[in-house]
Amino acid sequence: MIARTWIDMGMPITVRIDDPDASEADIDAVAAWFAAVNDRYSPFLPESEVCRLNAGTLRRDEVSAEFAHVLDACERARIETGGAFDITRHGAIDPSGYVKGWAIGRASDVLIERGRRHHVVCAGGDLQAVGGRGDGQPWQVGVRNPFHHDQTVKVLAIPAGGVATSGTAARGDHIYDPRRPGPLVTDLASITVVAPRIEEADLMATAAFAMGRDGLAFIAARPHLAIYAITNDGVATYTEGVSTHACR
Amino acid sequence: MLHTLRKILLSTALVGLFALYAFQQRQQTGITSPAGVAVLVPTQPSSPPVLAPGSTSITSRPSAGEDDEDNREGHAGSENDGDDDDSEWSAAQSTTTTANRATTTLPTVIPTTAAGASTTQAPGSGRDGVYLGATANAYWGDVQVQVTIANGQITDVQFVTYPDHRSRSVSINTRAMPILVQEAIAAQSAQVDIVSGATDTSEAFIHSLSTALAEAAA
Repeated sequence: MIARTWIDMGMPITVRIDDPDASEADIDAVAAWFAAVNDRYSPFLPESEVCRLNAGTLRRDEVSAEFAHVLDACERARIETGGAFDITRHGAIDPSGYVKGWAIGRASDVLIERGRRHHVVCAGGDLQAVGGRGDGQPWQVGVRNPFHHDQTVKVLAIPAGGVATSGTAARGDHIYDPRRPGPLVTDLASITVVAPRIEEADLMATAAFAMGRDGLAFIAARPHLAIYAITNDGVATYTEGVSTHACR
Repeated sequence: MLHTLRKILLSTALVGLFALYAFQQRQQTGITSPAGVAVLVPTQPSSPPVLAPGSTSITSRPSAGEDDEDNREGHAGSENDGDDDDSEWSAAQSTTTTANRATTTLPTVIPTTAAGASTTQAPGSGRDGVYLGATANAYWGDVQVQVTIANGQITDVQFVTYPDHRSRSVSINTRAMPILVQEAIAAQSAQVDIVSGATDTSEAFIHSLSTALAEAAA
């Protein structure tokens, strides 16, 4: 088993690979991928496609095929969530909310392409787990206590799947409901979503958190998703069976 | 006064529960969830319906599940619904009472729209008709269901009230459903491989990083 944690895209990234023949080169490949994503999609780098599009020096029909895919996925997510997930704010776009989950998912794909069947890629508290641990057990994924960050309050046994958490502990109020301007009004402290893929788990967690209470119903209506949501009163509402959730 | 009211509520709940139990016995093929069953009372008598106080869970099922592979907990039908890009999602929630749940379910009293009911007629064992459930604060919004029974079978469940921004009635079928339950959170001591949590700022971020590093080194 090998593991590494480092910082890129402004967040801690952890990769663990349990395949017996795993090498540091596998993790290097993942690190290179995240670095490339940061260069291409950072809202802080003037030469990134995101910034050039917002600055008007790049037209929508001039963006790379990859960026076009990201923008399309964001638009599908906006429609799917009834506008709760929207990368447009103050006339500019910031696809970070999708890029993060997408980058994690693709990083996992990089490892799969390299023949690594048992791994987990975690960035900023969101993760994609593949193949279970090397010992044949499911990945034991802790849900962080939104009130005490050094605690976990639930352990999810995930053979494979994406797990994403959105919450008020997130950077300032980076989650807002585009349909309700102003400060975020919610009594959700955090919502953790389990989905087959991290891309979906991430954007669904983001959207559901923005929806507040309605977000729980929104997720519950999708049977391939599971949630573990914590409200400010310290009560968790969760999908029965979430602690042993299996994604295929 | 309060005491009497409580008595009435309790007896109403009992009647409703028994009716549903009887109905379940006849239905067997229908709901297979380990959770309880929705407590419903007929609309015909003017007495308002009342939900039983006690533990609650929230159930949900997709309307889109065409397959009959039900009876599986939680995420049945995911292979079919995995790519649910259809924005015209429809779903159903019904408040149910829970019995003998192994999890630490919190007792929750469900407020009802009209608690002043003196008598409540329970439906017969699957007697045909249209039955309206109580409006219940299902934690994330009010929910009220209406069930149609024909020939002793549930033929339709409509949502009269549903916490959906695009409010409209949605239909459900009686198949496998994910169930939402509640528990008080408590710190876990079990060893974990990785932690999912919201991204932190400044201090919290550094703290998170240090724990992440610790986990990675463990």
